[in-house]
Amino acid sequence: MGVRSMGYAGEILHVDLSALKAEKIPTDSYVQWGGGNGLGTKLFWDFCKDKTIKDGRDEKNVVVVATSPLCGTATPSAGGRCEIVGVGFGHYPISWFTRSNIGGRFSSMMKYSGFDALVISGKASRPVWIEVTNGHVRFHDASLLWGKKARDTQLTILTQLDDKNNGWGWQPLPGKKESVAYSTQKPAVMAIGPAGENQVAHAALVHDAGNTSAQGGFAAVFGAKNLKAVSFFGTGYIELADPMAHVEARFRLKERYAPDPENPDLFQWGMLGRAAPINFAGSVSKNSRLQACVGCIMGCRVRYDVGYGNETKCQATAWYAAPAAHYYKGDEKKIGELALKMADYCNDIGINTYAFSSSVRWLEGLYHRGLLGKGKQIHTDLDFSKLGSEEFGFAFLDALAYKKDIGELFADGFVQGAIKAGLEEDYKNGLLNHPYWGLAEHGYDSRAEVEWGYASILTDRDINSHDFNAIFWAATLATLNGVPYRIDAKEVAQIVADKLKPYVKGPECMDYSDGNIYSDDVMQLLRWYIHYNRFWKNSALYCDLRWADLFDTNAKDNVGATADSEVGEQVFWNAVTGEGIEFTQGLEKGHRIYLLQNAIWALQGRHRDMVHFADYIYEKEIVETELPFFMWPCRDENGIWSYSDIRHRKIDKEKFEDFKTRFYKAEGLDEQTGWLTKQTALKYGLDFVIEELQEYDKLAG
Amino acid sequence: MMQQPTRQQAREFLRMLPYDAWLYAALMMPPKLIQKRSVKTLDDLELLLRPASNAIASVDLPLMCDWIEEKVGDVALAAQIRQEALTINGYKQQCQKAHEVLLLRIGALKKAAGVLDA
Amino acid sequence: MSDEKKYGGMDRRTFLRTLAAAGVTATAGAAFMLPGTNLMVMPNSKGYLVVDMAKCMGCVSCMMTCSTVHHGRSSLSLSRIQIQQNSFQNFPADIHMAVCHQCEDAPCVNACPVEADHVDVLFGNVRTIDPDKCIGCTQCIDACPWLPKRLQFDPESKKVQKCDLCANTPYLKEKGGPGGVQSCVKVCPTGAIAYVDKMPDQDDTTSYNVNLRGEGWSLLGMTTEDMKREG
Repeated sequence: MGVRSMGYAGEILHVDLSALKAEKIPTDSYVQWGGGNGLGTKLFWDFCKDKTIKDGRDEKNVVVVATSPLCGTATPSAGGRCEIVGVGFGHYPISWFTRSNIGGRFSSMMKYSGFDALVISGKASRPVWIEVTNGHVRFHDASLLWGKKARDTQLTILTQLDDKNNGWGWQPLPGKKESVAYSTQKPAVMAIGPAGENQVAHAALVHDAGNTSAQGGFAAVFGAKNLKAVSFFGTGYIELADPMAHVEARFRLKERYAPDPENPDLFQWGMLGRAAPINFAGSVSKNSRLQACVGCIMGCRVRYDVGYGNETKCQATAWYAAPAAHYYKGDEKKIGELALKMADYCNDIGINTYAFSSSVRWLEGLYHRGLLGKGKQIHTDLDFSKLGSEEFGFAFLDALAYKKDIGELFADGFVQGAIKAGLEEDYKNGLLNHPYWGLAEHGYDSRAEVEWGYASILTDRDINSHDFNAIFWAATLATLNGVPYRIDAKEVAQIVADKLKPYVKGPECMDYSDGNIYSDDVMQLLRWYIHYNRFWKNSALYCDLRWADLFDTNAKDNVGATADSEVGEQVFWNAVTGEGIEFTQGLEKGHRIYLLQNAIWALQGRHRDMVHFADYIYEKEIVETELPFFMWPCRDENGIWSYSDIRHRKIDKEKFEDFKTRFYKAEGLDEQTGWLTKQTALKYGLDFVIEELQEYDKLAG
Repeated sequence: MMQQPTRQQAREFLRMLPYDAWLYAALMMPPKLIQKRSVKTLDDLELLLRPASNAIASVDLPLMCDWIEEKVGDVALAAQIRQEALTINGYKQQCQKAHEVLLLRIGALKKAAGVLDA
Repeated sequence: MSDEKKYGGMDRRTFLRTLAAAGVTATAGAAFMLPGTNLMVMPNSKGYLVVDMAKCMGCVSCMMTCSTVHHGRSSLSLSRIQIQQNSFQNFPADIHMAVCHQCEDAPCVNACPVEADHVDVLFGNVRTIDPDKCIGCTQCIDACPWLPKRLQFDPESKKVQKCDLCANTPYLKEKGGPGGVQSCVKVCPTGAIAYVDKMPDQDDTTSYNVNLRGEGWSLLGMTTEDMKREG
């Protein structure tokens, strides 16, 4: 082991599943990539020998599970995230090199066990699971675990690892044993359920009760590799470059931005200062607690006393609420109960609710259109007249996870299934609203919230990054509830623009009116958004539900914590690593990571001509009734700012193509192809990609 | 005062609509809870708009009136909501007034249709 | 010999309290060995940590901050406060918080053969371990009556550590110790840990677990009812 860089565990673990062998690599030479997404992308580049693969289940695919220097430290809402990269599964037309993210305790335990990342290559000849305990690696036979759900798998592994009474759980410490004898903690296990074993596109990796890495399809990749689970346990530590500065910044951030749990401001505007748990089902029991990932500033999920729903949140708790509301005629108690039970079951069978939540409505439509049912164009034994009932919910999820009934048709993705069933038109016209790369819309229509759509199509999947989206929520909910805006449109635009310097000139970047969404100002906002994501969020691993904190009413001046000289992202990064970088240098690192990913996508077969939305985004205006308004800062013809409804529009294809051209140019990518140029590769220290790109004729210029 | 519907009209207005005529809406529970709802009948709409201490309907009210007129077919109801609800200030107040009008209308429709309300 | 035989038919704590009532106390000075006995008479700590196990959200920020202010390293194993959680358990048994009680008659202090584990009169009589004196025998860990143990063995330094209420914290800017800042209290996002100067009832096994949830907590949808927990 070489010199251990501050903040890093010091080694990367590579497991070759084909040979069932493990090797350790010093982290040092990868430190320039930060962690998470950047570290993982570079490791993928180095370890994946054939980057032309188009389906992540290919044996040649390499998956990297990567931490950041901040993991396992008390960096607010960054200590517990973990990034997963590799070629995914379920995209259309090509499953890109992509990313996913998981919270909980996994990344911190990985680091305490001595590793910064796990590189998984090859394919095991039979089911295995991997145990890592304080630097020691063991491959275990998983044939008895195969078929088990995610919860049972984790509990079985935890029990098996505890047979030596190592001291976790509620047991006394044995006192004088070496190595793991002195911990009160449990191993962190990440497992696949039946959906992953059956290699379906909507399978999710699961850790503890409610952490999932769902988008990207990596659980199907684990299934294809015959990898049932990975367990990390460690008693180590992370060395901090400036511990006192780190602690001080955390205290200061809490003082200025954190929600006050004894006086929660439920209508606060901003990310860091949000107080309430994110659960779309309503609470089933007040006998509950907030629960948080390692190091979070405030928990966003809940554990209950009722025996289900622990740590479920967000979309997982939302997808079945609508059918249940109809079926149970608005019985709030039953809706809440069922929404949590379904979320729980999704986590147990290891399935990604985002992949199918909007498709449920589409399927219901097919049933009412007479296209889905017994002996219909799409045959099913599922009784869609019972949609919304408890019985139907479980049967539907089983069909998807076990690849039976309609689950077989949609196993490779819903767009793929629709095309197979002769319903491609539904994909084109948006009845099946999968706007980018054959993946489900996140709930924020790309025609209205353009930065979300643009970033999704110009990367590899639903960007799932709420930085600017927080403005929409704040303004829309205030309008809905008839309460005053906490920050007016002009002020929020100015605050955000100040945070985005030097990318943008001024507040015009926040003007989402019809005439401005193809402007250079919005293009520069998009560049910041992608670069911020690629480094600060996906590599340093600041949590998406807390960062970026661009504006925040918890602060006296409404200015958020992002990039702040005393509590910004770079302050914690520098206190941990000692690197001494500016916030904007992190953005530059993000740019470099994005460029490297473009090289991989080119090898996989991407060309700018493929980079477009589903047809309906260009052809149909939004007819949105779910939200009465989609509020966003806009300027009128006189330059006056206000929150305005930005629905009722479509994307102009020609203008978006022109926008893309300007974006590629600004990024240093070739305008004709979207590929990396030799000049850019050299400029950004990516000379190592040149030879391989030339070999496949994918280097521009 | 809306014109009383015939028995046949009332049954028509109370029917479950075909898939392509559904109204997509949501229920918002402040601060940030959202439950998406598919409104398939006037009863569904009443459920959605029903005032609650912890929730508010999330629906485009002008589009909802168009839906009542064009999909449900109850022109009189749509006109009444436009006249009584959409002319007042505040989204929340508009929802409440729309619900009042709707509730009365559903009662009249059920009476005319000879449908017992469960 | 049993406690009762050693201390004239009284248990150890009752015996100490009887001495205190008779004016034999150490409250104004250092701990001392009562002549003719193996009994340490020690002044009470001037501060205590109490917790609300229903309010903790399991982020372990307190643990990482504890080890950071003491060691300059972030670690769960080097933390003097231990939070255990089981994601698959239901509320409230899913989380257990373990803080040192700064016991009235601290068994760990009594057990130390080299007086490394001692009462620090300079820092409000906090029970603490002098790492320079500790020989790593772990008798203090064995003596601690609580599970999990409130003392931790560092396998690298081969020393035992315990909560000192942040008295000896090279990486904490503010003054720690009784009357000063406790980093776990200060960092906890929910306010699930509090510092008090009144000694919790030593005869009640639930006395260090208190209700720190005010009315504001119920706005988040959580219970504010009392919940008795041991430990």
